[in-house]
Amino acid sequence: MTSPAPILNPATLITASRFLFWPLYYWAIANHHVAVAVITVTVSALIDLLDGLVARRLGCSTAFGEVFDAVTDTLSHAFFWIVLVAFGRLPWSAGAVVAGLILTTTALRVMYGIRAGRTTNFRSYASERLVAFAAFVTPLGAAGIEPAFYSWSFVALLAITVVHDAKRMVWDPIPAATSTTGTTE
Amino acid sequence: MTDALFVHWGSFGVGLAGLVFVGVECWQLWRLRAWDGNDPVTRDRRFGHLIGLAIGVLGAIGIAKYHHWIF
Repeated sequence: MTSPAPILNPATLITASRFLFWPLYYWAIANHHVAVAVITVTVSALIDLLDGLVARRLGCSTAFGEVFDAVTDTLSHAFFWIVLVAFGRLPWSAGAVVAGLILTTTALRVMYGIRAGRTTNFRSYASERLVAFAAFVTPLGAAGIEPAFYSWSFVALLAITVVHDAKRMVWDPIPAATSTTGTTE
Repeated sequence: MTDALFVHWGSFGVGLAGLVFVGVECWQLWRLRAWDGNDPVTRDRRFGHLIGLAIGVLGAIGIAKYHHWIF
């Protein structure tokens, strides 16, 4: 059941605050401040955990917040990767494959929402772990630690997960609506 | 602390995190062994933990590669 919390609440504001890290991160990469870039990405990832906690503690979980969190997560990681690719820190080919896979999974999530007939976020345990992996790959790329190895490993696991989740999103029965969490747990 | 030193010590942290990930995911998989395998949620959780396990292993391998301990 969806709670009556307003769309603009502390949890969604915390989620939205992640966009504030974008300029700092760009500046750090452009000016070769590795430590600043790594810390920026790490804090952004920690905030992703914090918004879910706040949503649960304050009881302000909404279906919008859940989807907004997922979208912010995807956009943030996409931005961090694009900047790394633009500055030659990650291979562009791996970045292009990741972009294609993320667009595919986004289209599948939209299809899932249409099938469900409500605003809902597709829950995938594997995707949640890949988000954590992306939060590691980005600072590793910024720090120049095996960028090719980690980015192609990420591509392989993402491809496997997209194929796995596609079946569930397109064909499998959709579970009944339950209480929203505001974010992925 | 210089960037080089930050990266050097940070890499050990990542390697350690990878190993911790392996341990946690193995533990979670072990806990799920008695759950109903026909339940889609259980299957999804198992798959997620397997992906997590792979991430932990790859994380540790990457750091070992970076320090030229392997390959």
